[in-house]
Amino acid sequence: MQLHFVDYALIGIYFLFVIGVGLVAKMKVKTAGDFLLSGRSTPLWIASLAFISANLGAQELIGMCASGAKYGAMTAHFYWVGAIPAMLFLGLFMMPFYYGSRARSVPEYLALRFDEKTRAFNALTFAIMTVFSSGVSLYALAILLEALLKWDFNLCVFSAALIVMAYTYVGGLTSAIYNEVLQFCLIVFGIAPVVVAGLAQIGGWDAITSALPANMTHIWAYTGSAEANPMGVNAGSLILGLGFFLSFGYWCTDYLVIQRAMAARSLGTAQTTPVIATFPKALLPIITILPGLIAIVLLKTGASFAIPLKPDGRTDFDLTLPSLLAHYYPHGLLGIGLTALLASFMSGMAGNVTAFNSVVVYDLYETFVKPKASDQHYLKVGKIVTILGIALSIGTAYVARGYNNIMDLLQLVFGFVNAPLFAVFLLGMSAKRPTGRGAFSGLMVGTACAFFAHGASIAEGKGGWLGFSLVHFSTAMAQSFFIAIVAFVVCFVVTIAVSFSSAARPESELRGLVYGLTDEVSVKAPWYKAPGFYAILATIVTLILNVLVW
Amino acid sequence: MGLLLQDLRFIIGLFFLTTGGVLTAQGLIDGPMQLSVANLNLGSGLAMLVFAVAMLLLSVLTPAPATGGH
Repeated sequence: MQLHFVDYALIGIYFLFVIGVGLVAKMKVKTAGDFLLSGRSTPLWIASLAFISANLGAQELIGMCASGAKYGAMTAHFYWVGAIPAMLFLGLFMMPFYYGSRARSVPEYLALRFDEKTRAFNALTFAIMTVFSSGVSLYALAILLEALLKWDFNLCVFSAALIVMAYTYVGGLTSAIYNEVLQFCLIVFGIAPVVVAGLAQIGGWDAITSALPANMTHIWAYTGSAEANPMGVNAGSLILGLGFFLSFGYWCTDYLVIQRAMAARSLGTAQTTPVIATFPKALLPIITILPGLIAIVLLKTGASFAIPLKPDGRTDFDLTLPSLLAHYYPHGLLGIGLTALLASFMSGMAGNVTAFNSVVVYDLYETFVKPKASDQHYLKVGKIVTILGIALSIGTAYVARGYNNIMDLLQLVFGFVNAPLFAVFLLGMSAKRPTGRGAFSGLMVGTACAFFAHGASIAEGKGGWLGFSLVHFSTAMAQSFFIAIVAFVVCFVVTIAVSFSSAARPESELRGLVYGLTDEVSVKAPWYKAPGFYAILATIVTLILNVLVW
Repeated sequence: MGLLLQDLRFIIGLFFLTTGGVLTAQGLIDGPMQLSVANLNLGSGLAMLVFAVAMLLLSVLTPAPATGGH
């Protein structure tokens, strides 16, 4: 792929704007709270778009398009089953406790509700995972640009890292959030023309349904058994594994996305943020998954389109989206399309770094190293931690270069940690009896059981490292659902059992942290402004979409 | 003007005004007077310009408060 001057100019304009946004955000940063929490002043539309944009990293853009090409329309389940219900639950039932408790982070809520060791476990695992995730984003960006444009790997890593550092260092979370909203708009404008041009060339959705097997263009009809569909899962494991354990484990506990809602200007806005975010989220498959289906139709119908092969001769589906950009886009729009990809990588990286910041400063440094220091001290530390986070991300990018399965490893470990964490949050927010000892024990045992479940099962040659295999799965996806279910259930049971063997906390210490001991769990608002009204609308829209592609 | 610069709608509008303008110009260079979906530069550029104007108008007609952000 060769770029012309106009493409480089558009990329350059984008970089100028992201740094400019950082400088604008700098005007709002006076305190550590401004830098790390955006001063809790973000309006609804910004918080909502940032909420999904923080999650809309390039792994999703590239990965969902690739999955669309491999698994077909069923990939939409990651949105309509694997995100929407959890986002609605987060907004309606969990945000009152996250926001209302005045906790500055998710681990801090755990400290208030349970104890410091539970907080420390979450803070440490989250900090490590986010910096690794940021580094993997950087690595994936660099190898993509190296493959497409023959740019030097080291140049890509350092220049992207320096730009992200520039705007997060000066503007903190506000800068990251503002850029995420800009990046979301850019991603829509940058990728939508692929869908328009692709559908125009192949003849619309009817051409897709006639060219592809039926199990690639229906999302529920072939889920009666795992063998009947390319994803290798049945409806039960889809709804339970993806729809509950994995998705709730991520959307309800991951501070990277929750931080955007916690930066909202009021409880009502914080509750409504993830609810409003479900509307663009429900429509994202049009620009993330549909291109993958278009690509497969182009390949089948013999159009002059090709997806590069891996060294072993298999199709490299990760290059589906860049191949479509190269196929359809003239110079100019090609620059925008590439900028959209760059933007998605960088928003993923910045989101991880800002979440890493807050957790390291509030949950580790302030709690265990230097409590009761001045606010300006924490602001300085926050800026230093930004540089540290970027440096660690660069290091991780080079580690990832040496181990090409690190992305799989990262996804796996996230799965091990998130599902038991959700069990602890669910119990902690809904009942008074769970104790700190119970929560910590549940987390330890649940996470350990997740490791065991992976080691004792095999899918696509992965797992089984314990030397024996109790279960075989046809796909890694089915295996990850199984691990999440095991981890959640074990954590849930152990937390309850150990809690009953330890002393309960007095109710006075749990006010504002548990359902039943919290005065404001929903905001008083006219019906047309209430989060519940938009949640019902979002549910109806999602159900309609499911029926349309049944 | 300072408050306007801090308004995210204004920033987004300015960005798409710039990039939309570049794309539209490139589209006119590619295929003057061709208003068709085949001219993706022109189509995308015009769409961006419409979006940019909407955002700029919103930022000017409903100014952000002095505190907090838009």
